[in-house]
Amino acid sequence: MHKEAEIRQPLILGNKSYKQITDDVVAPVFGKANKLWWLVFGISVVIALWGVGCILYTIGTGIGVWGLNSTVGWAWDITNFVWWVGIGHAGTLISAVLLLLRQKWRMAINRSAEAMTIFAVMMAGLFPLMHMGRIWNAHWIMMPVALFPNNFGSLWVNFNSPLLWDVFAISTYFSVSLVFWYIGLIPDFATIRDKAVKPLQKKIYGILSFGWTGNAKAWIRFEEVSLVLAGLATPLVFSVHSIVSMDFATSVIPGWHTTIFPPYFVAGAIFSGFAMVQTLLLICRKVLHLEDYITVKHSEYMNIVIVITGSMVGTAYLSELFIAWYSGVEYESYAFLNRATGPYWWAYLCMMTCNVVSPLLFFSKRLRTNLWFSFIISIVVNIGMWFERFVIIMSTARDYIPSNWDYFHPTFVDIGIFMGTIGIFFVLFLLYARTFPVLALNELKSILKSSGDNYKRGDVSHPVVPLLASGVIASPSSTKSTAISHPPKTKISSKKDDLTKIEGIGPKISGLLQADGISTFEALSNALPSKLKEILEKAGKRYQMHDPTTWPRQAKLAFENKWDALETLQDELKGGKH
Amino acid sequence: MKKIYGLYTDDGILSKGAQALVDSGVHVSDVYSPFPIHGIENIIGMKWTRLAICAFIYGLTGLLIALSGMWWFMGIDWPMIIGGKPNFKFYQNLPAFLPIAFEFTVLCAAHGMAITYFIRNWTFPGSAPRNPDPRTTDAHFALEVDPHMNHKFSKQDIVNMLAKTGPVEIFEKNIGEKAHHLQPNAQVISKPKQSAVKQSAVSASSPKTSTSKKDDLTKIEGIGPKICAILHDNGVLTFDMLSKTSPDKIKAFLHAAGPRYKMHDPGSWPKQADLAAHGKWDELKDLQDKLDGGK
Repeated sequence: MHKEAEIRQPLILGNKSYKQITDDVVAPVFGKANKLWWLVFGISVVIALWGVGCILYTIGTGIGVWGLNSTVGWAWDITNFVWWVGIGHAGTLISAVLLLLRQKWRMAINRSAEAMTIFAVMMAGLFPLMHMGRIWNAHWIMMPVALFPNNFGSLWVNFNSPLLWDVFAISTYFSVSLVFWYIGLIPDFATIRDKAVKPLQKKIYGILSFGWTGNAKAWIRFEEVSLVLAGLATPLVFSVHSIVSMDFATSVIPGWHTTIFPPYFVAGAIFSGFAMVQTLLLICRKVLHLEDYITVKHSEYMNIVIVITGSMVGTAYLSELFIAWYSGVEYESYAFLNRATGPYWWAYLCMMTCNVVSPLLFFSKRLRTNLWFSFIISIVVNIGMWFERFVIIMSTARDYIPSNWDYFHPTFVDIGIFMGTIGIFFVLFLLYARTFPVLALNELKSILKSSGDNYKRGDVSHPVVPLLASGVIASPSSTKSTAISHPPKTKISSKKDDLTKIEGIGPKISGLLQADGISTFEALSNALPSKLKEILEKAGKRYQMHDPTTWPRQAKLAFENKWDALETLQDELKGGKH
Repeated sequence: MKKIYGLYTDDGILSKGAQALVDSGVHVSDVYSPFPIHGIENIIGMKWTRLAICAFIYGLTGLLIALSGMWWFMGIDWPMIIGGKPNFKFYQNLPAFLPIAFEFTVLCAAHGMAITYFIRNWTFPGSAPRNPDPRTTDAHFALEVDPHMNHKFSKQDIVNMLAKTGPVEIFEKNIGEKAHHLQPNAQVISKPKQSAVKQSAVSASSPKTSTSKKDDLTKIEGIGPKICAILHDNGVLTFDMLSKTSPDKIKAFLHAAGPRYKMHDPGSWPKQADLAAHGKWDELKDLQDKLDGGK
């Protein structure tokens, strides 16, 4: 089994066992929803219904009810489309790219991130569909000839057009993400099926779980499929938003016709996607009581991705401005000057503050480990990313011919549809959170032994259970009867050990540890190296160079009075380090 | 015949147990677990899947379909002149074809592999689960031993060996039927030495007394592994015993085991077994040369 460095913080807290993980994760499925859930669900349903009303009104009347006009032919709808597609990037990124990079922290968040991806891409797909106008003829673009003869003969869509590339990219992305998500869900549905008591529930999850058996061969195939799908989905993620950006970049409109669009859009998509995952998971963790699985560390990791991708986006904004000036192309310079100082200056300002400035605050460890702060910034980022798309798209309102210049005003239908998609998105996500295993059970269990806090602390005696618990025959004495020993008892004793016996600990550090309640060898042996590191860091810069990795191990020997073994160990160590 | 299962609470114990059983010569047919146990396939001798090769083939197919499709749509069926620039040649259009060619490759590879995955696992919406115990999708791990594949050992031998590997339960069942719990012999379980689990398991648990000694009855022409198991189940363990069993009686055993064994003719089996029991292998060989399928 893979051994994880002791200094790494545990990813599963609270002395979990395999069984405990199942029980915690399936609890929302079998339990009743709390008031908070019903409240948020009710509001979302109302907003969703408003959106559905607006969508039906648009379909029935035509897209003339939108605020588009002869100059602003693309505005609100494409902004929303790109925004939702961007949000939909985090899920597959987390599940595919982080799987290939063997990041264990993805295990707690991938399931929900993938669900979010699928719902977000569904919302994105609504906008181009509606913009087609007569959506009952939508199949014409897919199957023009034999299957659905139209009035134009064998007229094909233009396969050289980025808009068609986008159709292929989004539908491939959606369907592959869906399959990837579902294949991962099947074993967890099987867990719910086998735990369900109510016949209807058992039946439903029985169908959903495809008769999953969990035998060795099935798991081999499962792992192979996951890995290959991740390998396929990784370039797919990057291709999708690159192609979305080509919708703009292949045109010859100032402000759009730039080569940095693909990487810049992909970074922006990951940025906004992670922000949305952050928002949803911080809510989930609270409402579904998953604090032990979605820890502060997970949130911090996501914030690090946000600050990196946010900085990439910021760099792209600045290089756009630089090139607009340096190229000497008048139209290009004017387009960017107009963005910042023209009639949409407020949108530009909003984009700059939300996307470039606010994530930089995450460089502070204190801020990025603060959950409330992360929550607020995650929402701010998504507001900023919406404005980014709005700013880029409104460039068309300032192209070559000043007579084309116009200002865009959204109608109540525009606003209704956009709000409605947020409502539908939350309705879907909330339903998902009540009926699906929101954490990837099988993956979490597979990292428990390397990343569970009890295992990292060495607190779990090998969980041997009596031979043949059916009980007729007494179990042999060599096996232990407890599956997991209890968390370290906080014995209140005034007894203090001389911690300076541990190599690496001097009188000063000994004092620091004792101030933090670690005054005996026993207490020290139960402490996590990461916790010790924290204590040292808190105490000031001068203690930062100390490496407490081996201290618990040394303390364990000291506690067990194995002084010879300790001495041998210390001979090998250099200043308490490896 | 029912399969025997050992139920464990830890993947590490199961892996060690499986290793110990395999070292003792037991064939472990499968393992059921709530999450993938890495390395178990090497222990129980299971081959790695070739799904990735399938995915590659599907992807290649997708790529060919996409490229030839676009070439036909854009160049032959309805050539489009866009912006006054005709580009009817395949290579002229190729750069613009790449995005869709890529997407379609991924589409075919991913979905083709997913469909193959479901077919190979034989899992479809509403399929009945085949795990031996509902707990194996939660926090338990089951190890499956098929007595059919382990003729050297009696059922009790297998149970005794299993018991030493640290399971919480041992039972036998057919999938879809009720489990029947099994107990190891008392003296097995009272041996506290964990080391006995390892290599010595065979010698410790298959006593060489004549009563439980088994011969490999498949040496008899006409008897395969399946029939050998049927005979063992009916108490015909050795060549000596078989030689003293009348063909009619053997016929009755075969009938009871199911219609598929009806066509077998055990007429010559006792005679063959008599030779085998006395170690007259040459004579047995001569006899078998004359026989056709034991008849």
